[in-house]
Amino acid sequence: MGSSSRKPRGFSAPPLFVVLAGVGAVFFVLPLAGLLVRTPWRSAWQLLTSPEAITALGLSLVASLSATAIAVVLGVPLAWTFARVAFPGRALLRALTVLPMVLPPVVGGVALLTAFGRRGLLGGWLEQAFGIHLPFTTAGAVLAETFVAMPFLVITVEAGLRGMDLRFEDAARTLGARRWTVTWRVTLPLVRPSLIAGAVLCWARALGEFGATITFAGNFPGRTQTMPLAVYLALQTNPDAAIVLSLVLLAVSLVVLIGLRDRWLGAS
Amino acid sequence: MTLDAQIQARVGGFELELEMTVASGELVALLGPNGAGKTSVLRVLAGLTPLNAGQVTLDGVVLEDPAAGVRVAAEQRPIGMVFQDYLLFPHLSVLENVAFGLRSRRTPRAMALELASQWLERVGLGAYAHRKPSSLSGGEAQRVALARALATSPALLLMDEPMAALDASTRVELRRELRHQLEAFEGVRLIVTHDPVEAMAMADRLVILEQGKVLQSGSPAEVAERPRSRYVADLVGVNLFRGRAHDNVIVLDGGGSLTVAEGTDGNVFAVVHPRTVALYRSRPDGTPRNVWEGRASNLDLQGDRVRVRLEGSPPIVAEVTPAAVRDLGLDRGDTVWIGVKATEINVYPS
Repeated sequence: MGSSSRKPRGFSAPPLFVVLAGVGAVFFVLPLAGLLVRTPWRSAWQLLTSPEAITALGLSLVASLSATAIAVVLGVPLAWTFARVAFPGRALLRALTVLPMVLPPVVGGVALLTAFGRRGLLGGWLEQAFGIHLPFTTAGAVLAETFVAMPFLVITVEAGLRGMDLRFEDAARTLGARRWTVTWRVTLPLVRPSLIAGAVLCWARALGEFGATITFAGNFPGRTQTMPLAVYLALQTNPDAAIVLSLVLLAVSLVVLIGLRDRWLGAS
Repeated sequence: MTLDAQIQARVGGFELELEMTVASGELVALLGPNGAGKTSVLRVLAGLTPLNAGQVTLDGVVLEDPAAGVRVAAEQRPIGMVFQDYLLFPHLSVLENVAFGLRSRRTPRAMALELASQWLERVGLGAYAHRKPSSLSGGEAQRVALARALATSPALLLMDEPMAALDASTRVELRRELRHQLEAFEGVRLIVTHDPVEAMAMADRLVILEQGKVLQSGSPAEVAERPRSRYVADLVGVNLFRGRAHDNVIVLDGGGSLTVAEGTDGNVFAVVHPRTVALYRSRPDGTPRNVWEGRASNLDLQGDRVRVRLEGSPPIVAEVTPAAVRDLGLDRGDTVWIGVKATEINVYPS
């Protein structure tokens, strides 16, 4: 077993499989090729540096990085709790936390409105007590992105914590380290690869977020109109701009994929 | 300085129940087969596993006493522990590893690093300060782990199988070196091992642990002389019998009997060294007091001796010269006569 079982076998695949596999591969390659072929290379730079595009790009960066920061601050303790603390209802809570990964994002947007909207569970109180209004604001876009993207960080960090040798923490304790020192100087550094991978995944997901953002935060240029929303809007008025913006998002995804290839595709 | 421990703890469906006292002058080895609970004892002493009942006292200070509601947390005990595979923090340099304990105990950074580099010098690894642990050999990692454990000047040093992660070829030399390092430490020293050679070579006293209980304790010579379990008897390579003595005859628990030189009564252990077991092709006349027949089930050449395992009542292991095996024409499956002199049997109460 092991490495030998990964090598291709000597006999050939059934012809039907070869045909279906070919169709499947074309299905992935063709749209990407289309994007490249249809890209108006000559005007690309001009489209990309148009005020609308610059605004959407800047907002996307700010919102996705803010969402990632929030996800790290809240998600790491959450992952730690799931990995280390046994409490009743843990499985259920954990399932709810990762639900946004499979939930249609538009449903997530609606759910966020019922919680943080003007008549939402928390939204009304937030507005009365602090004058904080989340829907249709940049903060709302950040909130929507965090909701959809944080699960990627939580499950990645949790897996890292579960795979860690707990005796390193024991060793730290016998050396006189208190709980916070153990966490800060031993546990977190040891799960750093998972933390980085989780944060990058989370950021990539936040950057591409569309459904929850448009539902909860709307589509206001300069305020909530992130790149994916700008792409969607441009498609109806200026298809060339939509293609160029899409290409930027594609490039980011590609860089993330290559950066994390050891994690997903093996060392080869 | 003395460690006093009465331990009752439950570790993963396994009961630990033992008492031990270790003084600072002696190096004590906790010896036992795998699964005897040796590591669990260290974890209890370190405060990583709670006691159910009993008491742990170090130098007069109670570290743990469940009945009195006392439990000093692991991070507040004056202990140093060397873990089985050393567990050096892979993300820290060698120097930072050694300084970790001092930093955790609020020593200012510069002073902690200075003390740590002095410790590295003492274990002969001053030049390795800025390396990562992954670049060290097993022996070097062991010394860093020792320096890390000693840097906080603990009163109690616990070492879990310090030699197990090392190559057999370097073990003897590193054992001597470790022993040398440990002699400089003035606190209480307790070392866990499953390797009897290591235990006998390093320790002043052995504590034999089996199934969570102390079977025996004493100097290596005492333990070898008077083993109290099959495990220890096998370790030192002697035949151990258990039985009930009436005057000069011991009726053995496993069948058969032995005649001994001095009369005793009650439950006893009887030890017969394999070298004193004689083998004959036909029934010998007179001399040995104990004569019985046995079938050779295994012959094993060990150095200049052959260990012959014999099935009979009782079964016994004999050690004879290869020449004797040749003269007897002895082969596996052959039946021979076994002779043991009464004066060669060492008897002591069980």
